[in-house]
Amino acid sequence: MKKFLTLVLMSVLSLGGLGAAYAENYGKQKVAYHINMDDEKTLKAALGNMQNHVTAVGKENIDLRVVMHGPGLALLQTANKDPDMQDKVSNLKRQGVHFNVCANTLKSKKINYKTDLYDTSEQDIVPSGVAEIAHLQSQGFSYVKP
Amino acid sequence: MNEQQKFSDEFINAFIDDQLTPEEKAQVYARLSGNEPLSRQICELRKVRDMVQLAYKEPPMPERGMASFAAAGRKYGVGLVAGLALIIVGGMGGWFLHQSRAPQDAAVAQVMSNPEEPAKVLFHVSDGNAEHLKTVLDEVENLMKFYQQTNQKARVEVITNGGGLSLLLAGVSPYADRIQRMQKEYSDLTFVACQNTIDRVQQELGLTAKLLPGVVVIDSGVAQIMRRQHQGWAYIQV
Amino acid sequence: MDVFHFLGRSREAKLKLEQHRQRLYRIAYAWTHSAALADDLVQETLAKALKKSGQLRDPNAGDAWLYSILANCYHDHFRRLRTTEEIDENTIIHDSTPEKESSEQEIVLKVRAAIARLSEGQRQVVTLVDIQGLSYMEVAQILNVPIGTVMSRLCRARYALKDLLGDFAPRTAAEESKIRRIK
Repeated sequence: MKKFLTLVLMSVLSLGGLGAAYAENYGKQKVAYHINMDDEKTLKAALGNMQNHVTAVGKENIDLRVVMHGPGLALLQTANKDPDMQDKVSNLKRQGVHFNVCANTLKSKKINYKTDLYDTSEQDIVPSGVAEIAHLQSQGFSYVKP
Repeated sequence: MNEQQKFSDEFINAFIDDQLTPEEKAQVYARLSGNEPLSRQICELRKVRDMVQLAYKEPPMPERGMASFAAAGRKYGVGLVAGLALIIVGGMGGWFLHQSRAPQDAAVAQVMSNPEEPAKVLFHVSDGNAEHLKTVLDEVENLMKFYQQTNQKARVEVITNGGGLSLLLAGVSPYADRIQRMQKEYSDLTFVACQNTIDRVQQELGLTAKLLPGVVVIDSGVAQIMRRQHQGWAYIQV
Repeated sequence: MDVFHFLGRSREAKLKLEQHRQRLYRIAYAWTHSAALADDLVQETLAKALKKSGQLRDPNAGDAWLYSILANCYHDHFRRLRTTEEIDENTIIHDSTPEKESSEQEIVLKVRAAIARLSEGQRQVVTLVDIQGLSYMEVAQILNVPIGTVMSRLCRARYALKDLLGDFAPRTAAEESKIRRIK
């Protein structure tokens, strides 16, 4: 939410402001992507879908959360070693996309988020991936399973 | 409207407020490309509109005590009972507390989100692969444990259709014991089987489905999912 | 109406009521810029609405009707209180240039101050359209004015705001001299 307000401000402060594409609606689109698979092809395609989604709606018009749990953490584990995936993830983050990982999974799979996952900090951790997805839906987020 | 004629201010405002007919909107779009003054005008008006929305997104909240409710009730001649209704309604949750939430508050928000309101979650299972079914049960159990630990009331349904039905078929399901245990351990957990799938299994495989004890049957898995979503349940596809 | 019946209703009905309250409050605050007064107005509005219908319907269906009640409560209140002269519908006067502010909260306050400077009719129209997203037709019904009046008030309100808030973009000398404007 804060980021959207900042972007509105930035365009208010800028000269002219041509090119800022404002949606005709009165709110942001909110979407939660549920990632619990580790098949690399599917994960790469999912990242592609997310980018298409953000591009289509406009980065200031969407609040996209990627919630990973179980095998789904493979997304950030692979990104740790795969430069192409790293790029995709970084780009999405720069456009305001959040990547959240499940604490339960970190514990059960003994994953160290600092060393094993790409660019993951403590703020990205949620206690339970599934509970987070359920919670987001109760907050009006749509659900997408790639 | 011919090419030379400018759009009136009212027309442009109606455009950005989506109060024009599709034909009228098309006229504006046709005129927009390469027309810098018009683009700028529209852009600036939209900015003004956005700023107004921004300015009142989170208005300051009033000070509120119980006394003021009763007073308000009396003041407007509404009477004590209606005043009471307003107290109770007003006491529910913060007005603007839950609006924006940074991911780092996720843990707190999850726990605090609504202690009285049960979380409602449905798991949709349509794949009968054994490994997959184990994952389903793991995820369901992790979720139930999480809600227990955080003292959150929850209602969870596992809705099976298609291949997922095998989870709940006696003699077929690899996890009959585990399911029985989970049913005992978690009070608001329901396993649901789809009648349509049961019928298909009968017709195509000649198999009369015998379900595990405690399994609920509904007419159609898909219909049940839609009903639940309509009632505000969260949807998890496993 | 039977309030106990209402009390016994589903959580969904209560949540809907809360939604209505939040939305009404935003508008009431934008009209009065007083949290206490806005709160009073919303309480009164909801109480009257409950009395009339016994239940609040789906937010999407009920909005315009609720805002009519709010507008009436607002006018009743101000009719009792009004002592100062009416602000001419067509006049806004721009004061000296404020410093260029960059903090978000300061911009929010500036916009609110600008809205407060508009004439009552303009303020009501622009807030109902921008904050609540009501159609011109609905606003006309809520405020009991012709739709043409809604459109011209909205136009003037937005241009007035653009002027009052135009300080956020750097200005040329020629534009500086146009600050003081009487339409």
